[in-house]
Amino acid sequence: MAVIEIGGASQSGITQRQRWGHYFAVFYAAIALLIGINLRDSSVNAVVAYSNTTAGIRALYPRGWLIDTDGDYVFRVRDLSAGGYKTTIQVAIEPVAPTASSRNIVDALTLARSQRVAAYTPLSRSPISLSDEREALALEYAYVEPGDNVFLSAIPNVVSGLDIIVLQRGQAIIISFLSDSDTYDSNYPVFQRFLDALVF
Amino acid sequence: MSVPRQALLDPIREADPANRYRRVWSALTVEVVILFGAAGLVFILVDILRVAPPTALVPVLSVGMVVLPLLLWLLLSVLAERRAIEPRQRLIVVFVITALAANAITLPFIEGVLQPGRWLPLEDAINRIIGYTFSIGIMQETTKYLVLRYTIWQDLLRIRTDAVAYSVASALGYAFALNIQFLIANPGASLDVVALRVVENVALNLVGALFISLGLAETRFSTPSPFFMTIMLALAAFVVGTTQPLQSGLVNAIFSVRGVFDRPLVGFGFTAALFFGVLAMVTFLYSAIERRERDLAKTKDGR
Amino acid sequence: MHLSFKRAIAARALLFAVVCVLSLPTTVHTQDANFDADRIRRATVFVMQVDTTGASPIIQCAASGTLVTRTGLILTNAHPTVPNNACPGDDLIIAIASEPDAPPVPTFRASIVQSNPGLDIALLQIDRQIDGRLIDPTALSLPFVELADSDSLALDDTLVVVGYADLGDSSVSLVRGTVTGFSAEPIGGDRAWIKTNTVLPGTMTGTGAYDQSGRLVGIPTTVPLDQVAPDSRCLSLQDTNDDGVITSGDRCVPLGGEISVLRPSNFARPLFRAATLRLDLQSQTATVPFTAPTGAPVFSRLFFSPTVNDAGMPVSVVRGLPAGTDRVYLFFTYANMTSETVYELRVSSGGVLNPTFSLSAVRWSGGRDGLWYVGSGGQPWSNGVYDFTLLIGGVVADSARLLIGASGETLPTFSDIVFGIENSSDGVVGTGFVLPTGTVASARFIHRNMSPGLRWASIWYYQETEVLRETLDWADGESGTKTIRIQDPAGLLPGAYRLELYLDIGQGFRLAATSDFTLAGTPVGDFARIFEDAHFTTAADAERALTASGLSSFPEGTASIYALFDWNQIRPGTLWTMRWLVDDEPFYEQTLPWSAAENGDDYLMTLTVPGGVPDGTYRLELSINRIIFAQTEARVGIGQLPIDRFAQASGVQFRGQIFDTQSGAGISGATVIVISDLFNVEEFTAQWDQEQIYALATTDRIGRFIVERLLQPGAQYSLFVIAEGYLPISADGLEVAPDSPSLDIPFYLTRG
Repeated sequence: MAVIEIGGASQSGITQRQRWGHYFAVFYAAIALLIGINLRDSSVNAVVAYSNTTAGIRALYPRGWLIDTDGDYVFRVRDLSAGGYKTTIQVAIEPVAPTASSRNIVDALTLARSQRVAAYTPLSRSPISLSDEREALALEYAYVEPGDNVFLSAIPNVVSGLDIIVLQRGQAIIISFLSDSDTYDSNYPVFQRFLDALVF
Repeated sequence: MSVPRQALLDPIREADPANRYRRVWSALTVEVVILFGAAGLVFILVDILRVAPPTALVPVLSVGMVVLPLLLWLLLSVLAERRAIEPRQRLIVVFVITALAANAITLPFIEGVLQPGRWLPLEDAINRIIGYTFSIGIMQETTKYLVLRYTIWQDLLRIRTDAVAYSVASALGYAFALNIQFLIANPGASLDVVALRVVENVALNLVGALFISLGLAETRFSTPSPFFMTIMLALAAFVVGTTQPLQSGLVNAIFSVRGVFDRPLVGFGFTAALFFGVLAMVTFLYSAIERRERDLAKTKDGR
Repeated sequence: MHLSFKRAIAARALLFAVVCVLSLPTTVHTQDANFDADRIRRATVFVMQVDTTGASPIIQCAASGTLVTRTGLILTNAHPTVPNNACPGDDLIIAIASEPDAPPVPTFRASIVQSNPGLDIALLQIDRQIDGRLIDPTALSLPFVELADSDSLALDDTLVVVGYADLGDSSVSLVRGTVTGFSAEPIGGDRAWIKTNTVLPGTMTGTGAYDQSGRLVGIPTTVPLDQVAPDSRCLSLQDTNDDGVITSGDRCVPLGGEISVLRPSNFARPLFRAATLRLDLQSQTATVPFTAPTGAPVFSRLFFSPTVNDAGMPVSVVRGLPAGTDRVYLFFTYANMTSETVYELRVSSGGVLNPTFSLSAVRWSGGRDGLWYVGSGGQPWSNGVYDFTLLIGGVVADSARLLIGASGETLPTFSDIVFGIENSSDGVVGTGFVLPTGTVASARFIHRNMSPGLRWASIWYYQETEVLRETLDWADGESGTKTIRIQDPAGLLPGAYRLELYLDIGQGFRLAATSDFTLAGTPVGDFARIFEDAHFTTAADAERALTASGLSSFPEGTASIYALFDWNQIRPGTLWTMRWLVDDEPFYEQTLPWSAAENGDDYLMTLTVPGGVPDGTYRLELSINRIIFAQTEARVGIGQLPIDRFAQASGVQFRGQIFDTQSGAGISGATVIVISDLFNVEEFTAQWDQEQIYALATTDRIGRFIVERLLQPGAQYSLFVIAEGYLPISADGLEVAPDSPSLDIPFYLTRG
């Protein structure tokens, strides 16, 4: 067998072709990585349109999330593939008195939730501006969600929640984001995109 | 510069450059066959014959399985280099740097940024292949390529099979990092699962590394198109990207009323078939290229 | 395309496998594969009534109970749950066993939604977590059992009682027995009680007894005796007097005696219907407040009759019965009784207690004063002398003796007394036991074996007071019918009357026949107009309902409907019955003493339901002595109750465990989606709509899951199992065999 040897340090150095071959390889790797990130983003950020003409709400929610409209909310979507607490985005409408302030609504939510969930803890309350320049109130809170079946031994989940409350035409539109506290930060961008695309 | 360790008794044979370097293909084949055999034996003992090792020994045996490819390589390849007239240098360096790069850069990047577990499992088959190719595949093979390119490219590629030897070292390093990470993440994994997983990681990385080695060797010793390395890199990434979802899809359970059980042997068999198929193909390509160069050299000499 | 083909093959293989394979064995020795012992165990709860006025809850009483809806409605007894003298607690704790071999753990709190202290039945609704947080019951998905038609039970049928045997470490127990007889009382006819040969511990009171199909047919019922009663059993568990030790000085939990009677489940149906539909019925008419009886409860005037007529009256009075008798009814007069009064009948022969014909201590389900009976039918009595002893609160009240196997001598008898108005052809017409007010009330009876000159007497009573007595020599024929009457030119007063007929056959006058009847209402021909103008209406409030016109249909979602009727000549104290039905199923039935004025208009009842009265056809029936005197009907919405798709407790339980292929560990937080039979996996994953889902379950920390909604045979479901980071598992065309008890399937997920 003929063996071509190139002993010791390369006396001839890297050829132009070899150098360009390397550059093309690195360039391809970078492009491929960008494609991969883009594929990931387009998959993770894929959305489905929802529209409720009665409530006057249009939204884009994450693809692959379970939607249901059969509760005391306009609609709710949940990520069933999430471990722990199933990440939830919910839009509800509550009637408010003409003289009610956001504080009254927050108090009503706090009173109701503290009766229904364990260790309900309001964390912060602050005014925010939505992407369409409307004023809203952001209410952060946390609570503990036990398992839903008493015959199983599920570890309770600590749930972090965020309500965006907008007063409009005698109603309070409450946009809620609920996530397992461990994944709250990583899931938050999903909610942010949802909120930016929400029309009501 | 290599110094002959010992002269061969047959000076004619010694003069043949082919005998001055350790034969990598045979060593690689033996190592992988032993590895597959060991994993198969463990699977048969634990899963089929239900020979359960003592619980206290399982972590030790699991670590042993993870270290086994490294040990085989050290014994059959690295130590064997010492008996060669022209031993290859820095094999262990390549192994270590690849393992470190994988552990420190590539794997955290995959988990933290690409997050394949978050989106790929729910995609359909085609999208999973594309997704894996352009995420895990490209990251994995690029890491190995860059380590090889910047550690051994200039000085240590003397013959084509040097590329194979160093690519194998890099692949084992990457696989070692993967296996260690698997063991840490799944401390309760049974021995048969560890064995199969170790072998599958090693084999898959070797498959990609073989394509990388082909690209490196051709770029170094021939004058291929400047895109040849890119194509090899893409091919390696594609093979990894295709294999992973196909294999897990084959392993994945089918629903039945008695239970939904995975089929690890199917995945194992697929990996074995893939590796030996690629090995045969790449070996064939190497020998074809060398035969062509031999013929060219003869033609030049004959002129 | 390959994957779809594979799925089709897998689905067909699965269908074949499911049809062929019989799965897990049950642990109860029954012959019916539908007896899902595991589900019944999980549906059995332990109920503790507690007093929360102190620093920590103090257990007052305890019982077992059974979940009868998935939303947490529990069927149990009233005596340990509804506050009363023996059980004065103010809250209810529901304990559930999460493991089959473990004692129950306090998990929820509940409130009473329906109860009938007389029948000793209560329905509780789980509405709070153990820490007091509110629960939305519609979000619950608990295992439950269905109520069966207890009238379908027959002698020697097998019963399985599932409940908690004690307040200790015992897990839920299954006890097998057979039906040994039925006890009769006016309130339930010949099946007021089910007798069983199984003796159950007192803490099993309120639990469920099941037929071979696993449906609830009876509720074991006993009553804890007062703590100071001589033979009470009471367990001290808590240091209620804060003296640092638990002694007899602390409050103890009364456990009651052994149980051998079951209240048939049919008695619970009206309460169940009202509870599930959340029907709230209120009287708006001013009534005389109920006053507790001032005297001690009394039983008197015990006598026997071989049969009972349709009005609940004895056909005749006997002192002995021939051999082969299989029907015996002990009648007695009662006074000053309340729903908390505990009574008991002990039948013994030769000093040996006969449990088949006895009735263990139970709550009183009759009125305050009147005539009552306890009897049995369909079970043969051996010849002998039987002593019937009635006890009130564990103390002997009265007793009587009956000879069975008496010689068949033909004695003079009176029987079959009916009441009415005499017509021109000397017949007696009317309803038989409810007559209109007037000047005359006639009674016709059958006589046999009479001889001329035999001394006989008739005594008429009005409101327990004798008003007419006649003692005569018999001058009519040997056998036939005779009519006697009571009259008052000024008009007979409305109220309760009684006629007693006596015969003197040489040993003094003995009671030969007796019957009660009621005078009420104005005469319309030979019949009584007691209730009239019964109608439904709706209005903004009760005030406006009085003047609103009657309606026979209401729109869907009507918040409340009103029922009104006028009445004539009803003496306060007269027992009358109001019965409400929806779609021909009763949801309210009460027999109460009349407590309004004697005459009046617009007796007003309100039926309200949170969220609106459900669609259905509602009917109101007004009756006295089991005779309907007025009824009215109205339709709400489409006139038919909506179908509750979650109401079925039959089906196949689907559960399992999900593991990681690599680590072998259970996967927490994985989701098992059972897709309804209208969609397949591909359609579901294209839309991800809750409407497409039949049931959902999430795994616990070790990967276990339970799909609480049972799979129905014949329906083809699809399955989709997902967990983050794992390849999903899916399958279409899942069909369960009708006779499979449950599916327990391990899943192994592969990382994607």
